[in-house]
Amino acid sequence: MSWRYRFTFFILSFIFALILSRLFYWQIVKGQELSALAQSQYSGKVSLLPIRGEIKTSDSFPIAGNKISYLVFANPKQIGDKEKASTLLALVLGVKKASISAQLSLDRFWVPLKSDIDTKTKENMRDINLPGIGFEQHFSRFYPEASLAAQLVGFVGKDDSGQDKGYFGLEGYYDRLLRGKGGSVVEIHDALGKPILSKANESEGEVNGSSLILSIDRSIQFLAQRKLKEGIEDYGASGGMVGIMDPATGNILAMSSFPSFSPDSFQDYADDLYKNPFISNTYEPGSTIKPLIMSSALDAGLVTPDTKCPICDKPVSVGGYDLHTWNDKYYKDTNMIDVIKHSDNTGMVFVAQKLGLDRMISYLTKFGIGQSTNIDLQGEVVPELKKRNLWYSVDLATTGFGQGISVTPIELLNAFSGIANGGKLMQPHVVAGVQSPDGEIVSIPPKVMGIPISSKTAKVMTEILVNAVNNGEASWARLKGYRVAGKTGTASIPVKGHYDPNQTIASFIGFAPANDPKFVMLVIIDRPTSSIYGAETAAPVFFSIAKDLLSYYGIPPEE
Amino acid sequence: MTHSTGSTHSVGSGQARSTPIIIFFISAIIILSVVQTIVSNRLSTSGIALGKIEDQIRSLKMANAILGERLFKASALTTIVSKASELGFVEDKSQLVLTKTLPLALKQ
Repeated sequence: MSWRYRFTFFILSFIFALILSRLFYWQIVKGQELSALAQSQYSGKVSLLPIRGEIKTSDSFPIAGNKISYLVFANPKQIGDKEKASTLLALVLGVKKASISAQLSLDRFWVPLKSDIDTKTKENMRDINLPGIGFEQHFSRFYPEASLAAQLVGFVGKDDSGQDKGYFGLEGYYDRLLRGKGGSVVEIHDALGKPILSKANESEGEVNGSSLILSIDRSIQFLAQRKLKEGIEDYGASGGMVGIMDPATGNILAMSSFPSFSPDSFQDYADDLYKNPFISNTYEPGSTIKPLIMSSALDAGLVTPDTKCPICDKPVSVGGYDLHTWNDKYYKDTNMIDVIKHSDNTGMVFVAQKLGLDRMISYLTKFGIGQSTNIDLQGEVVPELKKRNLWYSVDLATTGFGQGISVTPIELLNAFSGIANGGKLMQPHVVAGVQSPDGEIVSIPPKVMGIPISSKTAKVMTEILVNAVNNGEASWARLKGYRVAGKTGTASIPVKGHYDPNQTIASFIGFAPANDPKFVMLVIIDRPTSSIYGAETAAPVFFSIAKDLLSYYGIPPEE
Repeated sequence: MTHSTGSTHSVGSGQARSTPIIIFFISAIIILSVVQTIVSNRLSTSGIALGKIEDQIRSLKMANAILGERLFKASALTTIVSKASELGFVEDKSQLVLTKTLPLALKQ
């Protein structure tokens, strides 16, 4: 072989080795770095925020929907006359000029100016045509019905990482379902930044949030909220609440309370307004608990409607305490029908003593008192019943007329609906179904919690309650022609170890029509000033709502 | 001599056989290069069309969301009650009920 061949071979081998080593360097040593650099030149990874699911009433109307909003940002380095720009931006955005000036004076390429501006403001911003201003589109919560059912719905705030997070009510309880899952998309583009068809955009992981379809009836919710507000104003009360439930299914049809807040601007309200008092506040139920105690004694066969009360002719002395009736009127040998009609405390002491402590605790537990109702809302409080060894004889007696025991309004409403539903206790729930992002609806079936009393007892108790409405203290407010079963309640408020005689929680609980109830309703008026009694404050609100409800359901008078 | 002549003939016929193959491969390379150039060109320009379609989808989605917002705002009970009140409508508090009781004329 001549030297020429050898030389050529050597040169080619050297070049080949050189290429090989360079390829090794590019592909193995610097492979990852160069790959990332290349990808950044021809593609962009964009984070996709999922669209939060809506919260819809039973007529599919979104009481918490989504709207397009924008984050306005600026690149201070592209803005020449910062003074003029600050003045213009402050005017259009409705923000203080000093705040805009401070942002624009920063030595950064990106500064946020205002979030959640609407489309109209964005158009106004476009009109002033300032350089260095940009918009980032996203979805934010929108409440078409303003503060309707605000404490039931809750609100959307931010978590530690600045992402949307639901707090309180449904937004809090169903946050994970509503928020969905974020994803990302890789967009391949050419040198001019146009997307290339041969490399379709690949989005991965993004799942929009599911929507909730509530059992809440928008018309009933609106009606109840309006009537409650009027009632609070009329009776000079400091607050109030109303809950309406379908006893056959446990569907909550309406739940409202005052004072409330606006979820659009929740930051402007005190924190204690965020919680839903219907599930979070405890109070002494007063006489509204009497139907539960009486039906327990009837169910146990310890009393009948005609049983005469032998201790009702004067105040009863128990454990060193004298227990009076609410109006200091006493009825000798009164029967159980009249005990409920007159809301007779001494009669209820008799019933409670007949029932005894063990049966009392057992029946209250069966009615769900002292236990969570498992309603699908964030923030339910469960006031537990006292331990058996902590009950004194006077506690047994006072529990008979609703003192010395605490309940939440939802507990009482649910327990009472057991009587309306023929003795069957349903689990209360607000969400009737979940709608996936592709439109598929999964219904949540009603769930039976237990059967505390027999249907026969429930029927007898219903008749006693109809009599109480027709002939009791609240009979002046009753609906003529309709059979409504109900009971008034005037609970004293314990303050520093004694009851304040001038401050009460007035309430009325009932259901209609009595023979085939379409709704059970609890109205609570907090510290009314025009009258302290439930019969004169909560009862008229109850009957005012009930009248419109019966008309809404198309139920004609029976008599 | 004869051998030499035979050898020359053999090389000449081998060249004649390989020429069409070379031409075929060169042509194939040229044709495929042209095809690739055309296809790449088409694909890159289709990106403009794709961009337009994506812009259109985006604007339609936005229009849909804005209209939805207006629709829900307008059909909210809060808005309806407020507008009705402004227009002078009052709540009808009387109820007309057709009872099961027979009318007086039929009773007689």
